[in-house]
Order: sequence, then C-alpha cells, then structure tokens
Amino acid sequence: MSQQIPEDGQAQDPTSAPGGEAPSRTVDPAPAPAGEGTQTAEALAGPSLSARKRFLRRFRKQWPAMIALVYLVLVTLAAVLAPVLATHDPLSQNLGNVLAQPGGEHLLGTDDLGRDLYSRIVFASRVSLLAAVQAVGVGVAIGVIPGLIAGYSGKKLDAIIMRITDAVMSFPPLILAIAIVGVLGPNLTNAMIAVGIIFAPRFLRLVRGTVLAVRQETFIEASLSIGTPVRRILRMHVLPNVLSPLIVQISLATALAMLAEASLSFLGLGVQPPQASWGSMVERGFRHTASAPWLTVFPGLPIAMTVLAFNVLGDGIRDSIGREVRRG
Amino acid sequence: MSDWTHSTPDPGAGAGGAGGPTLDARDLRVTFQLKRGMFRGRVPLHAVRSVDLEIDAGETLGLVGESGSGKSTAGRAILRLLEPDEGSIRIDGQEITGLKGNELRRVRRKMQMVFQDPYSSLDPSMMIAESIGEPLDVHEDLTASQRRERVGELIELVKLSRGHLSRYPYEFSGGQRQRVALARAIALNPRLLVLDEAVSALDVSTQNQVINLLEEIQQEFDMAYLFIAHDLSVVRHISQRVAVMYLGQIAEHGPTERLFERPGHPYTEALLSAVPLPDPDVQRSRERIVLPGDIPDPTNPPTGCMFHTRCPYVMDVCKEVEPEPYPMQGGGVARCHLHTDGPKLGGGSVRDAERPTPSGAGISTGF
Amino acid sequence: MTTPEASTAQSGPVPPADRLLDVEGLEIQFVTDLGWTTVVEDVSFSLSAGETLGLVGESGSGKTVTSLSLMGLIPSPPGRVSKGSIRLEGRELVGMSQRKLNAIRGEEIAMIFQEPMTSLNPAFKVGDQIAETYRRHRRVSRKEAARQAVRVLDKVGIPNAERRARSYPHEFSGGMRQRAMIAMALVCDPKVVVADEPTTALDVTIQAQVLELMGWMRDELDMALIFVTHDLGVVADICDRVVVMYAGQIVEEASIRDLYYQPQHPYSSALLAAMPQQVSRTQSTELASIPGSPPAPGTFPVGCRFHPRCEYARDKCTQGEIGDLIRLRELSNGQTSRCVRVDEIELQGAR
Ligand SMILES: Nc1ncnc2c1ncn2[C@@H]1O[C@H](COP(=O)(O)OP(=O)(O)OP(=O)(O)O)[C@@H](O)[C@H]1O
Ligand SMILES: Nc1ncnc2c1ncn2[C@@H]1O[C@H](COP(=O)(O)OP(=O)(O)OP(=O)(O)O)[C@@H](O)[C@H]1O
Ligand code: SF4
Ligand code: SF4
Ligand SMILES: [Mg+2]
Ligand SMILES: [Mg+2]
Repeated sequence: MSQQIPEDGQAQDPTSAPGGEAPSRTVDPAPAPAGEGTQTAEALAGPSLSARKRFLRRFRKQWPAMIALVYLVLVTLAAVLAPVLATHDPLSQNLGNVLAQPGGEHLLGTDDLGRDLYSRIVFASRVSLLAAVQAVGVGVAIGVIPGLIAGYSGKKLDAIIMRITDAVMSFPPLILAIAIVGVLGPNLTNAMIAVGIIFAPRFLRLVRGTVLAVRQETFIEASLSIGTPVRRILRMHVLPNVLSPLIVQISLATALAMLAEASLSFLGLGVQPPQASWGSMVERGFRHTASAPWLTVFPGLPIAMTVLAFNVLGDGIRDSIGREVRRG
Repeated sequence: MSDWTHSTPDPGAGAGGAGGPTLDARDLRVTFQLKRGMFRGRVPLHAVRSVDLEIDAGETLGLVGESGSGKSTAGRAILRLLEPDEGSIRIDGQEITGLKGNELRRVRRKMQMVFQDPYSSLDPSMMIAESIGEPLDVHEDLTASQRRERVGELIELVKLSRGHLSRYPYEFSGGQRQRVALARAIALNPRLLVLDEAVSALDVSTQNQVINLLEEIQQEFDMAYLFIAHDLSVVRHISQRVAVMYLGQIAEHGPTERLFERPGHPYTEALLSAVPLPDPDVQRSRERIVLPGDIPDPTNPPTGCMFHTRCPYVMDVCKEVEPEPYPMQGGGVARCHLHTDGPKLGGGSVRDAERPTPSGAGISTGF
Repeated sequence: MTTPEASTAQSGPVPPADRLLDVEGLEIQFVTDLGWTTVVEDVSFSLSAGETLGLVGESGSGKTVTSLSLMGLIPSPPGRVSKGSIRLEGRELVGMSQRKLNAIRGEEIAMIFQEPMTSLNPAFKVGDQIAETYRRHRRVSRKEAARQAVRVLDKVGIPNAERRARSYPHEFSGGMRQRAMIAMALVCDPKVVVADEPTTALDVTIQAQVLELMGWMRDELDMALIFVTHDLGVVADICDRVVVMYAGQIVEEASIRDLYYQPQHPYSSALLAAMPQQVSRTQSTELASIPGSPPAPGTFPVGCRFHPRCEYARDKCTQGEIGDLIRLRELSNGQTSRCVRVDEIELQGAR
C-alpha cells in the first residue's frame, strides 16, 4: 500500500483533556469551499494506515489492555521459568515448619505441610494456565465451526445442531462436569475437557447468533449482488465480523476456565495432590483461613488478577479492531 | 396483457441504442410465503404482481409508492437477489431468469445495486479500498498495481480522494459512504444500476451532491438507472419516466412531465398532492388530498381495484372489476376505471374529474 | 409578536403574559473522548400560546438535544445543560428536581417522538398506556382514566376508539401508532407540545394525515407546538415561525414568510435552494447543493461555523478565537441572523 505515515493528531486519538471544559475545535485552514464532502472524515480520521498497523496503533493506546497483556506475558514467563524462579522444591514437606508466617526464609510463608508457598504458586501457574488453554481450546474446537455452519446454512442443519446444543445446555454445568469426569476419570486434563464441553455450546450460540445477524446485514446482500461466491463471503465478510465478539468470549472463557478449574479441584475432580493449581491451593488454604489467611489470599490473588487481565485484554482487542463505532 | 407497456410509445423510451432496452422485465411476479402462527400454515403474500419495466441505456426510470408497495422487492427480483416466481428479465437482450451458479455470477457484473442505508451496505471491517476492489477481485484478474490504479480511478470518479482508500467506513459521513457504495457499484461498468432509496437517508445538501454525481456518471457511461424512492420531488428531478406502485402493481406509469402535470390515476394524484412544497404561500393555498387509512394488508388485498378502499373517486364498478391498463394521452398507462367509466376521462388527467367528497377539511377518520 | 433578545441575558424575570416558554442562552454538553463537548450553544427562543415554532436543521445540528432539554430529558450522564435557562410560564426548568419535573412533564409540556414503535411499550395495551399517563398526573379512578384515554384516541381520529384502546401497539399501523403517540401527548391537555420529527418515518400519505391532525390541534385546541423537522416542505405547511439551526447554533430566526421569501442567512438560503423543487430534469440541469458536510461537535470551525461551506465567506467570517461566538443579530420585524455579512449580501429565497 502506498501510504506514508505522517504523525497524526486528530479526533481519533483521545487527545487529552479529560473533563476539560472547553471543547477543542480544529481550525479549518481552508475557508474556500472545496466542493467536496470531505470535512467530516478529514476531521474524524487519522492518517492512512494498513489494517494491522492501525490495530497495533489503537491497541497501544489502550493502556489497561497493555498492562493486562504485559501481566499475562509475565505470568506465562513465570510458568515457563518456574524451576528457575522457585526458591524451594514445591513438593518437599517440612512438618517442623508448618503454617510459617510470610517473610523470612519463606517469602510467602509455608502451608500446612510446611511447603514453601511462593514456590508452589510459581509451579501452580503451569497447571492453571495449561488448564485454561485446554478448556478454551476444546470449547473453540467443537463450538466455532458448527456455529458458523449452523448460522450460515440455516434450515435443517441448523435445527439439528441447535437441538444438540440445547440438550447439552439443559444440564446444570457442574453436574455435567462431574458426570464427564466420572466417565473419563478424575484428572486435570479430563476436568478441562469437561469444562471445554460445557463452553462449546456457548461459543456455538455466540457464533451462530452473530452469523445470523451478519447475514442480515445489507453488505452481505451487496456482496452477493456483485456475484461474490459464498465461500469468499464467509471468509471475507462473515468471519471478520464474528471475530471481535468471539475474541471477547474467548477471553471471558479463559477467565471462567480458571475459576472452573478452581471449583473442580475444590471438589477433588481436578488436579491431584501433591500437584497443585492456584485453585486447589485456595481450597487447601481455606481450611486454615482463621490461623493462616495468607494461604488463601496469595494463591487467590493471581487467579483474580489473571481473570481480570483476560477480560481487559479481550475488551482492548475488540476496541482496536477496525469495526464501526456507531455515533449518535 | 404482459405487453401493455408497449401499447403507447413513450417519448422518453426507445431513444437508446438500436439493440433494444437495457432492462426489459415482463410479467414479473414475486410471492413470499408468510408463516402465520404455529399451526396456521403459510399465507402467500404477492409482493409483486405482474410488473413490466423497461429502461433504455442512459435512461432513468423512477419507481415510487408507499412503504410496502413492493418497490424493493421488484428491484431485487430484477437483480435476481430474489427468485421471481414468474416472468422474464432481459439485460441487453440476454434472458437472465433460469441462469444459475457461475453463469448467474457472470451476468451480475452487468447489473449492480446501491442500497438505502449507507451505514450497513459497506462491511465495517473492510477498508474502503477493499470494498471498492471487491467486484474486481471477484470478476477480473488484475495485477496488484492494475487493481490499485483502477480503484484509485473509481474513488476519484465519485469525487473522493485516494487518501480515503485506506480508511474504514465508520470514518465517513453518510454522503461519503454512499459515494463509496456508488464507486463499488460502477467498478465493473454495469449496464443497469438499481438505486434503492440511495439518497433517502441523506440530508438535503448532501443528497443533492450525490444526485448530481449520479447524473454525471450516467451520462458518462450511458447506464440505465432504476431509481427507487419515496421522495417524489427527487424522482421528478432525476427520472425521464416514472412508475407508481401500489400493492405490488404498477398503478400508473408514463413520462415524468405528463405524470406530474396530468396524473391519470387517483393514487398518483393523491401522492403528488401530499408532498409538502417548500413555499408557504403555495403550500397553504393548495389543496391536499388526504387519503384515509393505510395501504391495505397485502396478504388480503381488496377485490376489484386494489385502491378502492381509499380512493376518493370510488365507483361501484371499482369494487368488483379489476381495471385494465389504459393508455394515457401524453404517454404511459393508468389502471383506473375513470378512463372508461363514470366521467370517461379517456386517457386524460384525473385532475379534470370532479372529486365527489372533498377531503382535506378537519381530521380524517377513515381507518 | 415578541422575539427574544438573543445572547444577552435578560434581567427581567417576568416574561410577557402570552409567552409560554422562554429559552435563553441554552448550552448543552456531552462527555466524549475529548472531554465535555458542546453540542448546542447560545440557543434562545420563545413560544406563545397557539403558536407553532419550527426547529429545522440538518442531521446532527442539535434539534433533538434541544427539544429533549425542554423536557428535562437530556440523558445525564453523558449530557448536561451547562448554561442558560428554560422557563415555562416563568418557572425555571433548568436545575429543577426530577420530582418536580415529573409533575410538569406530560401535564404541561409533552413530547411526541420520531419512532412511535420505540416510545410505545409493546407489552401493554395502547389505552392502558394512555390512561396510565393520565393517572400519573390526575387523581382519578382507573375507570375515569380509561374513559379519558378513549376520549383522546377518538379525538385524534382513531375509529372505534373504545375497541382500539384495547389493542397492543403492534396491532396498529404506522399512522395509527403515531396518532396514539399524539393522543398520549394530548391526554392531559398540555400547554406546549414538542414534536420531534413526528412525520419523518412516515409515508407522504400518512404524513399528510398527521399534518392535518397537528394543524387541527393548533387551531382547535390552541396548543403551542414546537415542530422539529429537516423537511422545509413540512415547515412551510405548518409553522408560524422558524428557527434554523446549524452546528449547534441558531443561525436564523424568522416568521415563516420572511424565512422563505427573504432569508437573512446564507445557510437558510442555501437550504431553500437545495430543496428539490418539483422541477424535472429537462428544466434544470443540476440541483443546487451545499459543498462539504456539516461539522461534528468538537470540530466546529472558528468564526462563523458555516464559513467552510459558505459561498459568501470572506476573511471577516473566519476571524476570532476558539470559543468566540458570532452574535445573533436582530434585524427588522423580529428576524435575526448570525451572519456577519448580512448587510452586505443579497440572498435568494424560494423563488
Ligand atoms: N423477505 C421477505 N419476507 C416476507 N415478506 C417480505 C419480505 N420482503 C418484503 N416483504 C413484504 O413484501 C411487501 C413489499 O415489500 P418491499 O420491501 O418490496 O416494499 P417497498 O415498496 O420497498 O417498501 P419501503 O418503501 O418500505 O422500502 C411488503 O408487504 C413486505 O412486508
Ligand atoms: N447521548 C449522546 N452522547 C454524545 N453525543 C450526543 C448524544 N446525543 C446527541 N449527541 C450529539 O449531539 C449532536 C446533536 O444531536 P441531535 O440528535 O440533537 O441532532 P439532530 O439535529 O436531532 O439530528 P437528526 O436530524 O439526525 O435527528 C450530535 O452531533 C450528536 O452526536
Ligand atoms: S378504479 Fe375506481 S377505485 Fe380504482 S382508482 Fe380508479 S376510480 Fe379509484
Ligand atoms: S458570516 Fe460569512 S461565512 Fe458565515 S454565513 Fe455569513 S457570509 Fe457566510
Ligand atoms: Mg424498500
Ligand atoms: Mg433528531
């Protein structure tokens, strides 16, 4: 593309002045009527940019999303580098030093078996993140494609797919998870497959619903009217427009998966001791809330922050995609 | 019966090339099957009933009528965006009903559409350059630089600048988007452009810019326009001929001047009188025919003349017998018994007939 | 006829007896990415009993926001009335508590919205909704309120009002819904009715019915009407006086005939010229159009806000600082104009 990237400075970027009283007015340098209806766009639009550059530029302006991204990168790094970052063996018990206070030799104290809490949290991040990725991966894998098909094909196929979806959704999620884990056997991967299966209908519904809405849009008919083949319409018009709500849903689901992992582990259906996830640590610490509250707080904190980070990141990505922002 | 557009030679028609009209649609019919509740089965809705339309190269036919009269349905059926139940559609002599798959996709380049809502007819996730270039991608094998050059030409043709190409639709005003939609529609040099309320969503000042542009482009490329609108003033300005639809039928059609000055159908007369003119003295001194009620339920249209439930001139015969198209003095036809019955206007204007119950006084209560 | 002294704060608190509504120096802001953005500024007008005032302007000029402010209905957040006063028979509405406003809304000043489907609740019967409005203001029995609902439905020309009052909104056609909206506005016999584009979504034939009805309201019920529209044909039909808005400001106020036959602002004149007259293509080659498009709030040009599109623009039109206002000037017989060159230029009206 032939575009220079002049430094911009127009309305598109929130140019400071939060709460400033005076509305900023761009001075129009050309009093002569040009004969073209270009003023509005000139005033509203920044310079010309390719789609990706434009996305990155917008994304970088979303500082909450940037912070969330940095945080998630750090957590992932921590998971990868766990053996290096840990100060103790996460599994070695020391019954002579149980429930030690934070500080001193054990940065965050020790648990009821005298294991170093900090090291356990660092190692648990591997389990928690992997669990979330597994669950969302399963959900997307079995939810998105059928959703696209159901939404675009309509009629019979749609009816069949939606019948199955409704059946799955009519089970209470926890019961369904217990049932699936009961069949597959209690370990973390199976628990996360169960969570993924619970997510799948939600992805499917979202995708189907969005496709149905997008299909109604005039631009689909406009594209059909120029003779565009259906496959190209799905790829060029439907998918990009499904993407942004899907991304939000994925970030939300990732957060939910971590919470679900915590509850399933709480019920003994997820990660098996002596292995730990953040969720299972919270559960274990819960027995000592009165005497050693840090056992709940410290592993709970990364859960809360990671959940928050995924949400903020999803919103940031959505807002940065070149989608219409309807005004007025 | 399907031949009635030919019954009188229109001064505006036939002026085009020797190869016949660009669009020649005959006896077009479109029916929707409406679901009525859970167990009550389906009801047919005849949205378009036997419509004939003919447009020459370089000519604009205006299509007007109330909401729900079937204008868009007719336009979309002509472009085969809807499947007509019956009828023939010829573009430059080529019959396009019955075409399927790749053949149909290939003729689509000859006929394009501009939609009403400039906010939804462009894909919000696509850059303007991609939107305008899409028809080229689909139909032509251009190199990247040829494509860029062509897209650049197109955007300049609609009086925007190349700098706009790498922007997104949300950065444009309604008028600008409509120009982008127009650039995209003319990318393949179509023979026929269907403009469905293409300027209705725009403000007057912007609307006129787009209309002027449309006229300029038509002259340059000798395209045929089907201009669908409910704003009669705009239609009068842009069209050489006008067709008035009511409940899926063409109630009257003819050369613009004749139709506006000497309407032959009571519905046309009422529509014209209902448009408020931007001149207080003229507007307040002129008589307004206030039609009672709304357009009837299209699934259950009135018998006889479909307009008889609202017509100020209604006669007994109107409730029983469906009027046939009658040739008008000055061109075109009207479907109304007044020409053969009652005052026997014989192709003259309804304005010459005496209206039995003068309306326009007090408030009408004729729902 | 009295006309407001624009942009000069009136000190006399008592308005002339026949003035129902007095709007003075109104300024409305919305929070946007850029902070508080002024969307309506220095708007002053007044309304007397039995008078119909037209509020015209293109999309985004601030017509709806202005009319909402008269009802105390500016959504807050994100909006606020940041300056000015709105007096209904001498009582100040700006800053009035919601409770007091609720007592006035519907009772003394009522509004008709553009989209009848979104302003009638689809879940309730039309008659019940109107009766409910009535009971909010008058202590009467349900039965009496229902009777009142039927009375107004009948008044606005709905046949079989008694039976139709028991219908749901979706059972009404577009024209009937708009009539029902009008009935709801009329049920308490308000003194002022604000109608925001009441006919824009309607077909010309239905528009003709509604215009007929509103003309009757003004003549027979002696109601004061504010009629918001962008259609100069509709204005010519129904209004006595007109306020023309551009980019959040009033650029001209005039009696109906003055505006159409001797406009005193280039924007009004350009709008009139741009109306597609009922003239065919053979008679006129090109439609007059105003170059460019209206500026969005936050991007208003310095000096005269119309100058980038004005064919009469000169250096003096573009002078000033950000935030400076060109004053609305009073001309003869109550006409006002916000053009600095109004004395130097000759403007064309409708023929
Ligand atoms: N997809 C559809 N399914 C069922 N009925 C339809 C469909 N599209 C249109 N109709 C019906 O067909 C009739 C004609 O509709 P159409 O949209 O062609 O009217 P129109 O003249 O274009 O009106 P408008 O001015 O509101 O656009 C209407 O009664 C409408 O309800
Ligand atoms: N809730 C809101 N938040 C932010 N800005 C708003 C809001 N409501 C209105 N505005 C802005 O105020 C300006 C005036 O809007 P308004 O709706 O009054 O215009 P209008 O003259 O009624 O236009 P139209 O003819 O399109 O109805 C617009 O630029 C709009 O963007
Ligand atoms: S045929 Fe009869 S009812 Fe129909 S338009 Fe003519 S006069 Fe009216
Ligand atoms: S002040 Fe100047 S720019 Fe503004 S309307 Fe008057 S002549 Fe035109
Ligand atoms: Mg339509
Ligand atoms: Mg509005």
